[in-house]
Amino acid sequence: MNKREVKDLAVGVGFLAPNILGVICFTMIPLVMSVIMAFSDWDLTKHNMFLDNELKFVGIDNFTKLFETGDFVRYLGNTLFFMIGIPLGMGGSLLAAILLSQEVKGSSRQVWGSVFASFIFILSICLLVLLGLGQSAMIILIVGIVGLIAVIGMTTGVNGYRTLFYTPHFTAGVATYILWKKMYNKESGVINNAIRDPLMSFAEFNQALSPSVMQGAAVLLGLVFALIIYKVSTHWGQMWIDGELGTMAWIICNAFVFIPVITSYFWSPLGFTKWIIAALGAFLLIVNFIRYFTKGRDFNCDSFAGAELAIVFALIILGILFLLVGLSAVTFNLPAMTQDGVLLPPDWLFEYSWAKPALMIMGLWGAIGSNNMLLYLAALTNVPQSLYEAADIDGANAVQKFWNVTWPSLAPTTFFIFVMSTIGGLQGGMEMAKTMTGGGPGGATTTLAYFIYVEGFETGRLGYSAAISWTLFALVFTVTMINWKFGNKQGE
Amino acid sequence: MSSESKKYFYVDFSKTFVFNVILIGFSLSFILPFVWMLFTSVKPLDQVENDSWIPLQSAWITEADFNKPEEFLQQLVDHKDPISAYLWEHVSPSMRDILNEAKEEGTLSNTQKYLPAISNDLSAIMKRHNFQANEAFAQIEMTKDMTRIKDDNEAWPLLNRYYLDAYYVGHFKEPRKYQWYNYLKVFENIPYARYYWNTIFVAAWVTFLQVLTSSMAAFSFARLSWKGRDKVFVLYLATMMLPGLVMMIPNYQIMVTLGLVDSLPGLIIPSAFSTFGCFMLRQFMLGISPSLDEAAEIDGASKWQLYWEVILPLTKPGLVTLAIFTFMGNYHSFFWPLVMLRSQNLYTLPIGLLAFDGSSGQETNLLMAAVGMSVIPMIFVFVFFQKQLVNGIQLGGVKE
Repeated sequence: MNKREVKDLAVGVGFLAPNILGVICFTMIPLVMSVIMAFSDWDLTKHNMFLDNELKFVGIDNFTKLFETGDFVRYLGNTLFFMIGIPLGMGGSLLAAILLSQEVKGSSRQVWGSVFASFIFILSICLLVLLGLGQSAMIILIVGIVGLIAVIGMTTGVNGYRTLFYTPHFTAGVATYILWKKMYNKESGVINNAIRDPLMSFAEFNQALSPSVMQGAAVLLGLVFALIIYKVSTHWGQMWIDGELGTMAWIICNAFVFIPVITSYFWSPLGFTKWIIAALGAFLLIVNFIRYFTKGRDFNCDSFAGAELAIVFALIILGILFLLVGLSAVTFNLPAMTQDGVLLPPDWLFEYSWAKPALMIMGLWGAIGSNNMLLYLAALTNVPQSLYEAADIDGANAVQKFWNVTWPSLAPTTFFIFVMSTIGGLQGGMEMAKTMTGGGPGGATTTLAYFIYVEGFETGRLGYSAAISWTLFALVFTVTMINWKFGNKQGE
Repeated sequence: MSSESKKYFYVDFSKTFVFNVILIGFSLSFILPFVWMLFTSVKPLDQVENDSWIPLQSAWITEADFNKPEEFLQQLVDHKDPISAYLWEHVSPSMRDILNEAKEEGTLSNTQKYLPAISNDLSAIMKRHNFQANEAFAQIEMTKDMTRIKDDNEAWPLLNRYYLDAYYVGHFKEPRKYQWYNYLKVFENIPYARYYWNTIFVAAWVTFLQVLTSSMAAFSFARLSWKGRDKVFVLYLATMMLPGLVMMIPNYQIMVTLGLVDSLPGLIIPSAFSTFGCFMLRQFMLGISPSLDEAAEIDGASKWQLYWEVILPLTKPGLVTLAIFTFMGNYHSFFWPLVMLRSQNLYTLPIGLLAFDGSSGQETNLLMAAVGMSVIPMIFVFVFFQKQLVNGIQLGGVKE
């Protein structure tokens, strides 16, 4: 090493020093400590300034305890359940981005005319809804807000709408969680106040109806469920035959779609519906296998080809299927619930079965107009216009253009958002649980992050908590590796 | 207009129309919670459970009721709503007996008989609450006479209005419709200004330190060449992958050792060093032409001058983006302050709000006022830096 090299090194390290010292102190050292803690029985009730027990190393006991008690699996289940919201939120973001990316064409007179017309349209809907409630002040209020939005839309165009969409995201945090906690309040919350009367009249209507109507509706929802699975699996089957989808990717996608089938088998309210679902699942599996593996494929491709997009698509379908399962279960039980002609709004945050959906609805509200929407907006402007023109010449309609041009062009963005949201989702839910539910009721909203917080800072079992955090890290690392494998391929 | 162009006019028109309806509908669903928050924050406490978003002067009397003294008496005797219950408490016991009897006998509709008698009791309530407006008091005396004399249909609305005012006077000292006073009350009940100051102080310091250290490190990685640089950079990248949760507990122990628990430096120091910021700024600096370095070297500039006078001004968009993100992130930061802070004086806004929710969660109006005030700085940041923010997000995504 000559003199100049030494000097260069000194200058380089000198510039790096402030940052690297911080990183060593607050990232590297904690990292090593954390590994050590994960294998020790460090517990604040045993090791504190008054009680100086010797720190014992317990090997992998912390990790085995994690799985023995079943807590980890349970809270991981909660975390994954919340993550069903991710694909739904992504779908919402994409929809919002597409809406915002539409150029409002035509002369200014047309634009003003249509904005005015839509204002009147929404106004009349509000009037119709609110007239039934008989609150004249509320009507004026809502109409005023709609008018304000319409004026903002008129004067600033898409930018104004974008800001309004983005509002829930940039105010996110404890403030909005407390706001939603109050909105979900059983007695005084705005949500229950709004749905109380409609629910009562719905209950009366439902009571007058024969129970079989609602059960029929539930069966209908079940049929939609089956139809979606059939459509999607044949779609992937065709892609597999055409060599657009690799074998592994095909298996993964189908596995995702089968999760709701299995769940609905267990949630099924009646014995025979259970068997119908089981038969449907088996039928689809067998038909698929016979069809594709006897016929063979026309083109071969890499085992993971097309996986990124298909998996994200599968997850969106997964979200929709879960929605359908939930809806049909609720519909099926409606006649029993409205027997007395009374249907009370739920205590959203403090009922076991409602706490998770309540938090997911709030999450969706914040996620649709988030950074993801901005990313999609940027990606949409980068889709070559010539592709749309070519599709126009081929006579494609809007839906075909979306599936054949827009959706494939957005694949890298979709995958990026999906991976980032998954990594975030695995570590998320702590603020929500702490602010809104305290992890309850009965642990229904305890995610892994909140579990770590409770173990580490409330019960003081530091060793155990560190072990959980490392197990969580293993999951995050796996997702990052998947991203690396597919994300890099995407870049080539 | 030809028929062809007319057709296009309608196609465009309906398309724009549909899009606007959907966009307005979406916007409405995103905005309504905030509107509700705003209206709840200016309600009096006894109205926070109301269906109506708008604070009402009276909970149950409408224009139509003014002309129905029978119903008023009925409600008074039943005293189910808060106002009637309050009034009922202050009606003299003998009068209560008379009214109860009348209810059983079904003679409540004889308002001429009962109203003047209660008027005395009710105006006594107003005296008890030091109803200050003499003019109003004179008027009510007059009204009472009117009631006694003949047609109560005219006098009754006025009377009603004053009783209700008396009710509010007794409870809030502010017989106004919108309780803007709630916002001041937040500052009276909790050290809210202190929370504000702490939050801004911590976020500003973290932002400053992070931008400084990250840009220096990024300069070292992007514009200087030294032995082992790329290996150190890979190490840096690797630490970005580690979830913050893993480091949280040991970091807390380190803070205990350093004696920084429950202090603002304890919030600032661990957050001041970011590998993400370094990575982002490095990308920015790599985009600047290398010929600038050579030119600076020929001019005899030191490395520090190159960094401070050449590279940093050119990286300004990146610095601003990083600063905004860091500021926003720290403004909302929750986990770390939650475990670090003990004394109320040091609370940041999120922790303060959480504590306020815990201590007086029933006072929804005050809570909503506090929540509303806490988002104001973010709205300013967004309004002033919207362009940089949006660009920053889109840049980050597209680069990947």
